[in-house]
Amino acid sequence: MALIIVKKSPSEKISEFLLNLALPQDKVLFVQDGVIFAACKNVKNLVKEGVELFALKEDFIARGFDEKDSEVTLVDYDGWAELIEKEEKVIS
Amino acid sequence: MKKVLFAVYTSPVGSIWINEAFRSAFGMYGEDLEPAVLFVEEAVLAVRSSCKPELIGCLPLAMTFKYIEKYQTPVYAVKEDLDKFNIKEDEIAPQWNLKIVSKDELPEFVHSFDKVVIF
Repeated sequence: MALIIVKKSPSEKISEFLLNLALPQDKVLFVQDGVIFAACKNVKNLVKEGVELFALKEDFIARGFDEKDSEVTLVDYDGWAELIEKEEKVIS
Repeated sequence: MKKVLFAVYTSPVGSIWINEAFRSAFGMYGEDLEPAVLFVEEAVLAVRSSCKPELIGCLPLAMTFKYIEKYQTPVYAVKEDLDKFNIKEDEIAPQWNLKIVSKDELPEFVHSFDKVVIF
């Protein structure tokens, strides 16, 4: 299916637009200010059932969060590259 | 032929993203790719005939019309966003040859493209 990359923070409407696009079996990766989503307690409720959520660890830590603050799976840059390789298409 | 969607969400006035989306879209024909453009959020304001960024010195949107017609580039807008900005059918510039997509249809619609770029 698709890898959807969310770069903007929760306060930006386009982020909500992208999360609403995600279909079951899609993966969503939060990067840049998008990693703020990973610290939101309700982040899993923002997407349909069956959508996997990831966030870029380097961006998450750089914004002062601790790894244990994340509500989603943290990946590093290598992990990001793997996600891109594995998915059929990218929406970003 | 692979299909590419350029989705634009920024206002047509004060930023270049709508013109850039079309510049990128038209460039796809040289790569044997089939482009389409989707207006969401404030970008839907572009479809009004009265929307003229050139009035404040920005790039005109009308410069895209002859290429949209020549290449038959599909241009879409989200129904709920058109409604949100109270854009009526008779206000829409016919040159866009606009096609309407509802929010419910968006996930499947967007997934039908091979590549999707958000502007």
